[in-house]
Amino acid sequence: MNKRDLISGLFWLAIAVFVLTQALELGVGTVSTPGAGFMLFWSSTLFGLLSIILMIKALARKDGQKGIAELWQGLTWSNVVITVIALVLYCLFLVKVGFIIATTAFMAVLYGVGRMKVWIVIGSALVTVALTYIIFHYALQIEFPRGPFRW
Amino acid sequence: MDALNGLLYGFSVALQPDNLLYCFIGSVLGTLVGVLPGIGPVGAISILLPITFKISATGSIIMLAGLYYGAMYGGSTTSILVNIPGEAASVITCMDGYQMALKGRAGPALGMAAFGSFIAGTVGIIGLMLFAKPLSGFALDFGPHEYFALIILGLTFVTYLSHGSMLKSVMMACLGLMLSNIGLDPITSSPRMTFGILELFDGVGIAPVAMGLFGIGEVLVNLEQTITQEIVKTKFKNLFPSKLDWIQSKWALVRGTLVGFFLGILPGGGPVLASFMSYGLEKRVSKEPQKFGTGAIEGVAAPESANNSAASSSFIPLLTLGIPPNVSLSVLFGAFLIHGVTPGPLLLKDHPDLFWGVVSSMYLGNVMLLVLNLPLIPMWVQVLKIPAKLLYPLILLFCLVGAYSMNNSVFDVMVMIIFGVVGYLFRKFEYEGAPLVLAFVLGPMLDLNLRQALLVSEGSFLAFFTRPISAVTLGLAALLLITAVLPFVAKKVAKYREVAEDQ
Repeated sequence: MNKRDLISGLFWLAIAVFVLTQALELGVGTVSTPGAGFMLFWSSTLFGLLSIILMIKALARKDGQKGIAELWQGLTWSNVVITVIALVLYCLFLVKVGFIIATTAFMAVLYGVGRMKVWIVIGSALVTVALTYIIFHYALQIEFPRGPFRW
Repeated sequence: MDALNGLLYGFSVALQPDNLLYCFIGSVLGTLVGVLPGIGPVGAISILLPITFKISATGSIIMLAGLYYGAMYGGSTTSILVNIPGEAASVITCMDGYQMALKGRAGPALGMAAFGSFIAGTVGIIGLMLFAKPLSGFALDFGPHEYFALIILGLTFVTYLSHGSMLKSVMMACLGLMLSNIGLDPITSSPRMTFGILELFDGVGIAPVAMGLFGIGEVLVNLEQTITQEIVKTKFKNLFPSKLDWIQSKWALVRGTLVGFFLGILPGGGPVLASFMSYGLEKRVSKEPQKFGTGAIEGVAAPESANNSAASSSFIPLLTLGIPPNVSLSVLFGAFLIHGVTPGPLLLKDHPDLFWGVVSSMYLGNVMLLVLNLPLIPMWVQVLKIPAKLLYPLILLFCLVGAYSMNNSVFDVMVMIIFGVVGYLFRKFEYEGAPLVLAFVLGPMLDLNLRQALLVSEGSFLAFFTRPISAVTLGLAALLLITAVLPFVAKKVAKYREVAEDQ
C-alpha cells in the first residue's frame, strides 16, 4: 500500500467534492446554455474520479510501503518549519510594524537558520534591508508599509 | 520582404536605450539563473514579474524573454564545471560536458556550448520571424470552436510534460482548471468561489501562484538538504573549440537545431525535451556511440543547440496563437495579460512594436549572451561559490517584495506563501506544478471558448467536428492521448497474459 498516494488522494477527493458542491450552487446550466458552474462541475468531477483511481492504485500497490515519515528522514526539516513560520508572521506583521522592522527581523531569522555568527546575522540583515529599500523604493518606486514610526 | 521590414522596425524598437538595457538585464539575470542551481527560469520569471509593472509592456517582455533564453546559456556552465545542471534543459549536458572538464577540456566544452547556443538560437529566431505572420493570418479564422480544440490539444500535451505519474499530471491539470475559475464569471459576472473575499473577485494571480510553486517551494526543498559541490579547477586559457571539434560536431549542431526548433513549437515540448531528444538522436546516428558519456563534444553541441533553438521557436505558438507551449512561457503569458496585451493572432496587427521589438531583441540578446558567457565564466564560477545560507534568504525576500508590490497587498503575499508550501509538498508527494500552471493559464480561455461555442451551436457538440480545423485538432489530441495511454494498457495486457499462462 502506498500511504502517500492514499492520503493525498483522499485530500484531493475532499477538494473535488467541495468544488463540485460549489459548482452546483453556481448552476451548471444546460449544454445549450452552460452556466457559471459548468467548467467547475466537469473539472471537479474528473478530478474526483482521478483521485479515486489514485487511491485504488495506492491500495493495490504491493511492492513496499511508502510511509509518510520517511519523506523527512535525514533532512533538516526544522529549517523549513522555521522559514514557513517566519513567512507567515512576516505577512501578519508587515503592515502593522512597517517594512523596515518586519524585514530586518525576517532576514535575521532566515540568516540565523544558516547558523552564522550573531553579528554576521544582524549585520547581513541590516545591509540586505537597506539595499532592498534603496533598490525597490527609490529606484523602482515601490511603496512599502511604513509602520507606526513612518520609516 | 514583409518579415524583413518588420525586423528592421523591430530593431528600431529594440535598439532604444531603455529596451536595450532591459534586454541586457534580462540576459544577465537569465545567465545567472541558469548558472545557479535551485531556481530555474520559471521561478525567476515569476519573481521578476511584479517588477516589470513599472516598465513598459515591450520592455517587460524583452527583459523576461531575455531571462528565459539566457537561462539556457547559463545552465551549461554548472553542468560542465560542477556536474550539477543549472536548470532542467542542461541536465543532459552534464553527461559529456563534465567528462570533458575532467579531461582538461572545460574551455572547449564551454565554448562549444556558447557558440552552439548562439547559432541555434539565431536559427530559431529566423524561423520565428518567417513563420509568425503566416501563422497569425491562419489563426485569424479561428472561432471559439477552434480555440477550444487548440487549448485541449495544448492540455493533452500535459501528459507528455510529466516526468513521473501521468495520472498525477492530469490531476494537477484539473486542479489548475478549477483554480482558474476563481473570480468573476466572464459571461454572467457572478462571483465563483470567492467566499466573500474582495481580493478574489479578480481571481488568483498567476504571479503569486508561480512564485509560490516554483520560487518559494524550490527554496523550501533546498533548505532541508545539504548539497556539497566541487567545482572543477581548471584554467580557461582556451575557450574556443578546435578545428577538429567543429568538424566533429557540425552535424550535431544542425540536427540539434532542427530537433529543438520543431519540439519548441509543440505544446509540452520545449527546451528540456529537445535537449534529451537531440542527445538521444546523436547517440543513435553516431558511428561511435560508446564515446557518448565519456567526453564527446557532440554530446555537448547537440543538447545545447537544441535547447536554445527550442527556446526561440517556443515563442511562435505563444505570440501567434496565444498558446504558451511550456510552463515558462505560461508565466510569460501572464506578463502579457498583466500589461493588458493579449498574445495571439491579433498581436502582430495591434502591437507590431511589441511583436517585432521582442523578435529583434532576441537577436541582440543572443549576441549579448555570446559575448557575456565566454569572458565572464570566471565570474560565474565565483557566483557558484555564494553559500546557500546567504542566497536563499535573498531569493525569499525578492519573492516577498515582488508579490507585495503587485497590488500593495499582503493578500498576494499570503497566496504566494500558501502555494509555496503547496509546491514544497508537491515535491514530497511526487506531484508536479508544471501541468497545474499550464492549465491555470489556459483555463479561463478554455471555459470562455467552450461556453461560447456551445451557445453558438445551441448545445451541439457536433459543431466541433464539422468545422475542419477544430476536427483535425481534436483528432490529433485524441491520437496523442491514445498513444500516451497505450504503453500502459499494453503493459497491463501483457501482465494479465503472463498470469493467465502461469495458471
